[in-house]
Amino acid sequence: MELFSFVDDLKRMDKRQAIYQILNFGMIISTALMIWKGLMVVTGSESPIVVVLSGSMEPAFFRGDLLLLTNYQEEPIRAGDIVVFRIEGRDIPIVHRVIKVHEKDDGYVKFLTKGDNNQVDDRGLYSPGQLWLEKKDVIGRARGFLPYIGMVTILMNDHPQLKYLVLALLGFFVLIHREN
Amino acid sequence: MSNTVTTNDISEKPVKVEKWETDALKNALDDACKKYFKETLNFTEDYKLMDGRLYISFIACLFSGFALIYDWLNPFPKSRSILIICVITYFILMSILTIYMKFIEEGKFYAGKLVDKTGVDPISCCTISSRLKKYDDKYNLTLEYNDGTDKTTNSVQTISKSVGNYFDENGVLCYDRVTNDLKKIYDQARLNTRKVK
Repeated sequence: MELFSFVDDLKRMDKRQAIYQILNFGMIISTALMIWKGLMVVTGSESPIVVVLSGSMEPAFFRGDLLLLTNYQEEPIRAGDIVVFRIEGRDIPIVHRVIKVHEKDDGYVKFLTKGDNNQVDDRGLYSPGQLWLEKKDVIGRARGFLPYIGMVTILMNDHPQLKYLVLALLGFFVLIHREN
Repeated sequence: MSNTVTTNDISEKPVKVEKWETDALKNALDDACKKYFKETLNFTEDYKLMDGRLYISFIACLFSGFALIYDWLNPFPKSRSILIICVITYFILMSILTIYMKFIEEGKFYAGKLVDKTGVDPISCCTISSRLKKYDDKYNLTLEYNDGTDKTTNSVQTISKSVGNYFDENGVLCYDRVTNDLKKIYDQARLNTRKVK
């Protein structure tokens, strides 16, 4: 069958060619990984790109927008900054605005956040007994944004089979396609 | 090569490729050259060039794997310095690889040595490189032959023919036509080294 002619191509590949195909695949993944780690180092944030998951920041950010974050420790957190933070014990990042800041001389900061589109502040979201957020909870501050692109990530997370299928297909085509 | 029947089957079956895909055509022609030199002329393949490429790629992947594992074990702020080192090294290795493939490999897909069984003649080496531009039909094959007596002089022969000469309408490779042309330039190259001497 025409479709399976690549199987013959595969069998004709010698050992070194096969190793190169695998290394090629490894290099593509490594390049993506190194770009991600490089971004982490440059921005200072452990997750430099996040997707807005809810509509709590409308009309500034909608569900599916992509945000670029930076987390430079020297810049002070001020009321009005849009921060992305993680509550201890939960792994979903939340994008909201800082509305109150308390700062001590020694640099200790605590702040309160609220989503622009929410009626109440985030104290209901924090851990039981927690009334303020601290610097350690912050993943970064929003510095840039791309609309709609994050919808792909949301789709892949809602349907994990789609994610594995796409990755498997990509991997398959990279391994099969022989280039010189 | 192994002696199982299936392997022999694959190498003896006529090569059929998608005739509109220039990558597949070039690969098929290159493979045919390699096969001719290995089986008919009894050259032994020298893998140094390809191995260089494999080593650089492998080291690059090792660095990125190390960065991944280190960052997994020591979450971000602690792993910062190691990450910086690994990322920079990785991209330096990538540039080295690109330079290697562009200037040192230069389209050479075969380097072989002919060792005379009687041990009388010196070892002759042959390097073949080819180019087939995307969407173009002209296949340029360059053969560099070194007699072994004088390491510095190489005789170079090129042929540039349309791929239509080597494939039929169904995309099947006509091995005999390829070997005819190869034989011509190989003999020409050998003649030229004798003449120069």
